[in-house]
Amino acid sequence: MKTRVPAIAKKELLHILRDWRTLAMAFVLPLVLLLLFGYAITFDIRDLRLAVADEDRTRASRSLVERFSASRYFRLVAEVPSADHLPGLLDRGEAQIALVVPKGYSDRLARWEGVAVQVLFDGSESNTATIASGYVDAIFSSLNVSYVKEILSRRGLPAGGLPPVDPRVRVWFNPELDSTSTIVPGLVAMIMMVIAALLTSLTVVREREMGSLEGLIATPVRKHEILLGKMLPYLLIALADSVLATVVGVLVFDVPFVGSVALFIGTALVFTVAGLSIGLLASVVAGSQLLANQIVFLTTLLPSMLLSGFLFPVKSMPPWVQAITYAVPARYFVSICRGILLKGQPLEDVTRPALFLAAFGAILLGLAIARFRKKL
Amino acid sequence: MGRILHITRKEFIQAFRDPRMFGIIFIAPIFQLFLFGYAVTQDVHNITVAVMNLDRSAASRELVRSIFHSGYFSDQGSAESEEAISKALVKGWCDMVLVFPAGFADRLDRGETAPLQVLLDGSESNSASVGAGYLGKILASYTRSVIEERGTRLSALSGLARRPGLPVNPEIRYLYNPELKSSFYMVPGVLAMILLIVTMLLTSLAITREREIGTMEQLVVTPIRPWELLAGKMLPFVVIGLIDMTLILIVAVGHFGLPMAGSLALLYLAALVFLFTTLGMGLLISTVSRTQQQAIFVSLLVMMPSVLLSGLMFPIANMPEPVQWLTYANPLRYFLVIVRGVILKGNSLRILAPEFYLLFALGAVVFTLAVARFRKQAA
Repeated sequence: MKTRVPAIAKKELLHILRDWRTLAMAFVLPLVLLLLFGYAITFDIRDLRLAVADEDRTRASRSLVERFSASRYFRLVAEVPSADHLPGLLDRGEAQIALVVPKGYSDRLARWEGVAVQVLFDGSESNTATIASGYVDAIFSSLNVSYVKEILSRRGLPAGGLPPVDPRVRVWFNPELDSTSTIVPGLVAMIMMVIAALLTSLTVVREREMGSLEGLIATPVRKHEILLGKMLPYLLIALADSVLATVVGVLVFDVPFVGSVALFIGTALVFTVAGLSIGLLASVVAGSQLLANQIVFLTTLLPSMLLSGFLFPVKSMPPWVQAITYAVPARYFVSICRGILLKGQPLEDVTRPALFLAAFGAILLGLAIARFRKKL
Repeated sequence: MGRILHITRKEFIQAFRDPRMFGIIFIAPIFQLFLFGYAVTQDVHNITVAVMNLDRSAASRELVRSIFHSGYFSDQGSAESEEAISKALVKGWCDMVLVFPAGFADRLDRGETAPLQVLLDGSESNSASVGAGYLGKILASYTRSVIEERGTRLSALSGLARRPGLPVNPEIRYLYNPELKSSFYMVPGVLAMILLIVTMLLTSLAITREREIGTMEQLVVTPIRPWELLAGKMLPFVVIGLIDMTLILIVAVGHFGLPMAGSLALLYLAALVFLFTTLGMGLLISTVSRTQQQAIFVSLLVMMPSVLLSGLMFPIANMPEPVQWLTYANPLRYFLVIVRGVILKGNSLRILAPEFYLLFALGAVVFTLAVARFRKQAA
């Protein structure tokens, strides 16, 4: 046992080192993902394409339009004389949101009669429309407050206390509300899961496909020794990836690292074992590299991205999807990563998810060993 | 022609020799469709809120009640001290803390603006900003009730309209997706993504596999010409891709209730043009990979940016300018515009012509390049 596992590990390491392209991929892929998510992906919505039909053409209507065009969330791309032109602009995707200021806007406003302004959204981008409707509401709310104040003061009436409540928002852990700080810790979890599972998923099945497993079977090496030995080098690679991703996140993307580095590495180790075990299990049960890869793709890459809370909050999902997320290891590590990096959570706060990850890894590894046949 | 069909038959047999591949090729796309259709939403519900009420007035309690009544927030109880607040935020027990300072109600009574302290957990930046947005909505409706009350009171003395409400009322309408279902946005995207994955990845693996196992040499010495070999290898994946697309469309319309506003024929035409690029990419990947493992990694390396920079999950307009320029080289970008345009908006070929041209041009370039490289290697 003491010498066999290192021997297998050494052999696997030689395999990896000989195939430098794969090894390079194991580091290039994380870097590409980091750059993509760090630079390109943001939840912040700005510069929505706005089209306006100002049928009133007064100072009041222009000031309404200016409230929109001056906001960083909207960019005026088209001004048309009447509302009839707007559906075409939305159909062609030239505008994402359209405003109709009706004739008589200014007159009705001056008499405080209440005037309706139509706002049309391109609902096909539902997430954008949801968030943007919040901005639209905010603009109209502050517009109403200033109109009421103006109307009252013109008549010499007291306006006081508008708006009645002024929310003073302070954001903890991420004062600028920078979405990169949210994304990068989650990304570390996703990268580790994908690399760990992808690399190991091919180890056993490749030997089987190429026929070299026969040689191993003939030796007295035990099943668990083969699998543990094969796992060790990949453990190192996946851990190196997690360190690389975190260092780039902190240095390049200014993600804060408030908590304990040792705690982070300790939990990362537990998580990596879980990821490697998924890959090994896939490799043991699959008959071909193609199938092993597809299994891993479906059980790690997609869930780690969609069901872990990395990009989309778990609590917004329907209950049956939330139930599935409990079986996704990345879900636990995403919250551990954010907790340690951004909030500085101590050991006691991450114990429960870490224990779960450990149990998850142990069960899958046990399954992989049990299902592994030292036969042809 | 006969030779092409022979290769195609062999490829089909090989693909489905393992019965589990059947599941991977036909069940997995449906699984992904449900995942994306239901899980991927930025619409945040149940934002957990703790309240620290130093005012303990009827007015503050009333506001708290209307906040929890809105349905966006769930009550996590009250926090009694600064330490309790800090602990709750660090441990993630709540996403938001509302602090009503002493004198909150007095200020309201005097007709002054009363400050309300809002503490947000920013570690999930999107949830935090959506939560702040919802709070803004509730406060806006509170403002509205105050304006209405004041207007009614003043209208008697000042000859205004009899019951003035808000001066300006936005009437918001959502076109193409009136209920703003996120599945309307995601499902056309999944269709495009599955086509990309199935055709590109499977093609690259099928060709690399022959080289890795050494059977490519046998194929090369047969009288099959390189283009026949390629056509025969790719045909099965074209068929599989189109079957997957049909399955997805059936679920999209039957289960998710997508409108299918445009022409079905136009959609399949677009898919064929799109397959040109994906098969070309698959072939190109196989020419640079020696093992299936490498082919998988290179495919992932191509797939991740294609998916992320296509507007599938994240709108292109929100990306930084240089990245937006990059997306013009992404075939998936154009295909997505077409798929969404046809399914949701009922766009005609006339409106989508630029996307069709660009998709075709990209496909022609990639495909020619790939075939040229493959022929050089096969020779």
